[in-house]
Amino acid sequence: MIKFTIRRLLITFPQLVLLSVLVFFMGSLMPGDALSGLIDPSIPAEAIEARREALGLNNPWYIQYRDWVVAMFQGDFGQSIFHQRPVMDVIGSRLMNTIWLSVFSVIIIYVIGIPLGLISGRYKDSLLDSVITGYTYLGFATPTFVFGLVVLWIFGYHFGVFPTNGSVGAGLEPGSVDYILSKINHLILPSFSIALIGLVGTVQYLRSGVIEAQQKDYVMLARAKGVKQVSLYLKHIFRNAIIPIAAFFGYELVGLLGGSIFIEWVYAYPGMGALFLESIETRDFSVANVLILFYGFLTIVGALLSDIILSIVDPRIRIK
Amino acid sequence: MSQKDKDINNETNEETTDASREEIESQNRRASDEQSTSRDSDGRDPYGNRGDERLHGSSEMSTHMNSDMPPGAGDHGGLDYKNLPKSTPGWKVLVQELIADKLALFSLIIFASITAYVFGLTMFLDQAEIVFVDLFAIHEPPNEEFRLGTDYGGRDIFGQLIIGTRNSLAIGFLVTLMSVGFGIVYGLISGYFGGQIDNALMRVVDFFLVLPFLMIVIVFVTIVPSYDIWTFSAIMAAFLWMGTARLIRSLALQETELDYINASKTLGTSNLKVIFSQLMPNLVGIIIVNGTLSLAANIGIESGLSFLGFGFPEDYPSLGTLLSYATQTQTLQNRWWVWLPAALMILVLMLCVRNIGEALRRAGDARQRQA
Repeated sequence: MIKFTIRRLLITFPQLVLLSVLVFFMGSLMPGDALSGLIDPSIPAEAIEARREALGLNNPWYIQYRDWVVAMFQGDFGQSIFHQRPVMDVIGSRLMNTIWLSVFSVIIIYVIGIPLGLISGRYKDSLLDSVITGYTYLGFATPTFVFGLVVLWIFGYHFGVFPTNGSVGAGLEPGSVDYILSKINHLILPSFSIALIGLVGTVQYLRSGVIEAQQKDYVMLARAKGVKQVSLYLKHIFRNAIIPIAAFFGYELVGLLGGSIFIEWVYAYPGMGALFLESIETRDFSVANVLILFYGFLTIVGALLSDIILSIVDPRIRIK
Repeated sequence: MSQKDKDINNETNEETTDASREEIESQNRRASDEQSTSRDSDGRDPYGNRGDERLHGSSEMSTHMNSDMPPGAGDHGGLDYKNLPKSTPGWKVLVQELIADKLALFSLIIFASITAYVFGLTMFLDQAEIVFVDLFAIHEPPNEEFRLGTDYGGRDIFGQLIIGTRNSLAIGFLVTLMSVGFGIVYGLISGYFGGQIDNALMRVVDFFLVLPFLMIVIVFVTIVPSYDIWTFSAIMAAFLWMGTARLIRSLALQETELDYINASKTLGTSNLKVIFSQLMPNLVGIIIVNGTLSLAANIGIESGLSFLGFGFPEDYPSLGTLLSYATQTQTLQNRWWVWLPAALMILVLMLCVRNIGEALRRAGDARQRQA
């Protein structure tokens, strides 16, 4: 187990290096640098040039890259030109919102998706199964942002039962009960919009997993031994059918973190995805760059997490 | 865990599942629910292996299914090789299957009519007139003159919907052509040569897979100096080819083991010829399926990017452009005619293309065929 994890970790290292190089070069392709925000007619060009030299912006690219990486390890991710604050502060103020949104969505996906998948596999070809299968068909063909817009239109505006933007009501004391309730209330529409589309994959995987497992010898044996239907499905079949879903957990979580860009935009939800779009629109590339690096890092971690989970739930992989 | 371990594991899994599926299918042959075993129809398999969808096995399978097979053709003793019935070619199986599947046929007809309608109509529509700003007709609800009302610039929504559908379809096709085309070549080379070349090429794919797609594309769209339809498609395709490459590579890897490739190599056929005129034709079915499902996804991605404002410019509307008007509260709340038709159009297009793709995918699996 430890050996497997270490080997898997070694693969991620070159990926991280490559990612950082790519982001670095994208950064140098983008217009403007750390001093662009300071340029104004009252400052002589020589002074800017001197600052440029002092900051090492005239060095060859490999030295700049080294300095950039070293600075990141020391926690310095640069300055946001638009916000006039360190990039980490700007991102930090949005980070928790996106994490809440993703965690909520993941919970809904599994709470709704797993029972649906089990039912649909258990009662294959029944009316209920056809309804669920039809739903997964529709879900696969619906882009999240289209669904989000329609949900916002119906529940946010037409019925007016949920807030239509932001992450929390105005004028509430952070930490109070009202504050938390308002946060949850603001999360309901976005997270359900993500989850109801996101769960179709889970349902379909689980459904075919259950159908497949039903025919296996060990299930026949359990049946012959007189194991009750309920525990047969919940213990024996579920254990095997859940493997692909467990294996996707890492991808799922990270995918949600990245994929929430659309939903955050639709619901004007102040998370990192919305921050990314804002920073592109305001040409605040230092923020955008760090966000790309961050999401790339998350994807690598997600893949790692998925592989480790898979080796836990499916011992056959470890042995090989 | 290396790529190889994953593949081995996946293949062994498939063997067991294939066997158990055979049982299921024999028990309820022609079950009303055709997609019972569509395990990875959503394309989320992280390894990109869809070994169970092997279309290239279709020729031998259809021989079994031919009812007009001469008696005794099955036993090897007195086999008359010359008079064996010709097996149905792969594309014909696909067509037969598409006709047999009523939902897919229905989807195909709708999709074809929409495509023909928008491409036909845009030849007669004056695009400049549609995107012409008319300040006396701002935000008009649907009426006699404007069948679907107007937007904030007094522009006709119906005309924009038609043009937008055409543009979205066109770019969808273009991106699919580019990304699938590149993925095929890449996957074929990787799978055919195998060994170190395969290893190196797959590490590149692994790297591309960890990139945050949406963000990278948005940044490239913003910083690219000359921005038009071609660069937009190229940027999208540059980060969308990996799925196809992995799929084709895993199939090419299996196919290269077969005797006909070895025989051809022994006879001294050049690698180029073996890959493109002998190996590739045997994967054509899966390529069609992959292309169709990619098309559905690409239409969605393009309209998503346009929705965020990083797709087509406004005087060249796409379906996503119409939807992006809905980010204004007033429009979303009170003017459904601006964005709802575009939303429905995206839904219908993606649903139709997916249905067709799914039917084709099932056609690749002889056990799930209906015709």
